[in-house]
Amino acid sequence: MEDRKIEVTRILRKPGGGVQEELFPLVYDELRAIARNRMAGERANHTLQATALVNEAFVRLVDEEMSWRDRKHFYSAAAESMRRILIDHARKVKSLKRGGDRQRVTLGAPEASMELEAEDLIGISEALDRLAAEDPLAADVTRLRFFSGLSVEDTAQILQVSERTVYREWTYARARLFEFLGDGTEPA
Amino acid sequence: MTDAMSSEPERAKAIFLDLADAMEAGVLAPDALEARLTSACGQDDALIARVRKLLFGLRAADAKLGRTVTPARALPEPRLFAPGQRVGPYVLAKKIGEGGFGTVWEAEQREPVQRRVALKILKPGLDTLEVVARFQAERQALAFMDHPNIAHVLGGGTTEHGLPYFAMELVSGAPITDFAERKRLDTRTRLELFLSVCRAVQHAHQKGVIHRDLKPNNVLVTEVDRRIQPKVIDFGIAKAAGARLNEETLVTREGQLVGTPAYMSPEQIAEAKDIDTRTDVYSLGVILYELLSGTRPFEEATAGQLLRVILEEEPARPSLRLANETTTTTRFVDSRKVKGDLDWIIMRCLEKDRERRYDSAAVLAEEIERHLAGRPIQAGPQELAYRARKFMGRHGGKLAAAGLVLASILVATFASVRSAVRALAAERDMRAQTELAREERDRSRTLAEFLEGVLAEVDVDFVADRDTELFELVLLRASRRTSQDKNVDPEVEAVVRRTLGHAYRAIGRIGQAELELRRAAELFERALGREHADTIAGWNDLAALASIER
Repeated sequence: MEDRKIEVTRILRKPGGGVQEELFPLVYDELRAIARNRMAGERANHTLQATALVNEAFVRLVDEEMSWRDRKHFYSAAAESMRRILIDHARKVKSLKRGGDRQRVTLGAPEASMELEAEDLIGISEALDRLAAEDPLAADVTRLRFFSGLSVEDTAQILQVSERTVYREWTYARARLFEFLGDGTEPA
Repeated sequence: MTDAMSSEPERAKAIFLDLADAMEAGVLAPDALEARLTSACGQDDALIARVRKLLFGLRAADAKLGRTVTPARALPEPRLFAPGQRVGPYVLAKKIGEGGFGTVWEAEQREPVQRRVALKILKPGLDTLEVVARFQAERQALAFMDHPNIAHVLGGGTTEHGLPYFAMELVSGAPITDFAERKRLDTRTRLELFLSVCRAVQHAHQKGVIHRDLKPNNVLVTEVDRRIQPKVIDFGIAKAAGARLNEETLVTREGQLVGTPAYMSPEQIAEAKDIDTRTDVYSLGVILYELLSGTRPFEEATAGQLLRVILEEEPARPSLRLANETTTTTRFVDSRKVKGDLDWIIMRCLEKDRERRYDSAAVLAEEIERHLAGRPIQAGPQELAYRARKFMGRHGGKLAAAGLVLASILVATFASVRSAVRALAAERDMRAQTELAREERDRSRTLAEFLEGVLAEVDVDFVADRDTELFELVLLRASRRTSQDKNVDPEVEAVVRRTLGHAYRAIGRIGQAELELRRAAELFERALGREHADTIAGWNDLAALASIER
């Protein structure tokens, strides 16, 4: 545990690129461990609180005084890890699906949380890849807000843009994602 | 952003965001949306289609994810209305209320008739179009409602800013609970007042209108010429406003609770779409609860906790609340009058499973009438097993505790004896076996005797006004279990049988008591011998039964 923390610090202090790639496996393992732990103690139909897991991982892996630039690395890695964990999880739920079992996932910041069925996540995640290809900023905002549960303020800080921009990108991203999902077609 | 250099997706994005912002801020009316869209896109059909898809995408996102914080919400609301301003055919006079949903104004209508009305103007939100559409759909049904205790809904539409509004008959009056307290109404008057409310709700139900948001603030009472008149307001509004009202009821703003979900039924919390008349019956139950006890079934501090307990917990009976809490209601309502019938009636309204509630406000009204006339009510003793489950679950009262202890100890005793026997079979050393067996038996006997001690507190007086049916059910189960268990030590079984016998005797079931005590004495004799003190006491017990009158 302490080793991982040191490792994270080392990666973040390392000069040059590739931080994201190196950080990802560490954060991923940690998140997986926390998630497994958490789910073991809960009932079958529990709601997975993605954001809470990310927060816990942050506390365990990094120092509070971390710079904003480093936070960006951490939260981006965490968002991506969380996304993969949730997708794996959703696939598993889908393949094991028994009558009436509905697995729910809570995403987003505590003051603006969103609850989804695990299965819907697969579609959203694919739509997010499409969005990232055409509009990286909107996709970044979505990842940080959705999977890392960052507030508008923190998202703005980390992406070095204004809060207003975060609001706008977030509004656009939601619209575009649901357009991709096909839910956005004009009702008859 | 919209310069000629930017590519089409970027232009679509910019136009979409401008429109979304304007709608969110309430400065773009839905009917003006199309014109604005066309002019912003400069007649470019492909671009118009792109932006429109985004607008629908956003609507779908809001529907699926729930509304998340957006700029207009985070910013202070613009002051859109002032006295003297026209809204449709009405002129605003003064603001009379404000809530999470929006504002309520007293307004004047000049044409076609001159009258004062109440105008409820909803806050900005993207679903304005749908609110108006739902209201139009509901209007026909609302027009059919004609009841002296229902405030008329006169009309509705959108303001020039594109905000939905509803015009209603102006009702001055106090919320029903406040009125009852202020006028120090006694139990009977409170019930009669509540009956009028039930009949009004029933009238609406017959016309196909469900209120969905019944609460004291929506039941206003006035007294004219010594006649007390309640009026239910806001019929049709909750449905039209849809998820928004509910959401606003729950959302905390800057940590403050705007409204309360206290009157919401479990199904409203769980599946907002699946609502029927029994949802209103639930809310009526909460109102009656409050009217008679001065407290709500659940008084949790935060909306989150409240939602959980509404879904999961059984409220205390109103008479208990009345007896244990000092509210002003205590002075005007006698808890002895609430105990029994009224407890049952209210608890039936508050059932989590709506199949168990009264089917309609009319059935509820009939029950209250029966109670007022001193006739037997239909609620109350329900199917035994169901009641037993609830009763055990409440773990209130010594009797339930005793039953619970009895059941669990019987299970524990037999389980431990059986495992001991199994363990012993594997043991080789005979002496250790006997030793272990004795130890196990002693432990079981201690347990059984502890149980006996608990049950000793149960006597005829204690049981007199309680649930003997339930108690019997527990005893019967225990007795059957004991008979089925082949591995139980005879001495332990004897103690259990003796306990059962005494319990039966306590509630006056002499025949059953005799069976159990006889079996106990026989078992003692077999296990301990004819001269043992327990055996002798056992036969004496049995003999003493004969002297009790059946």
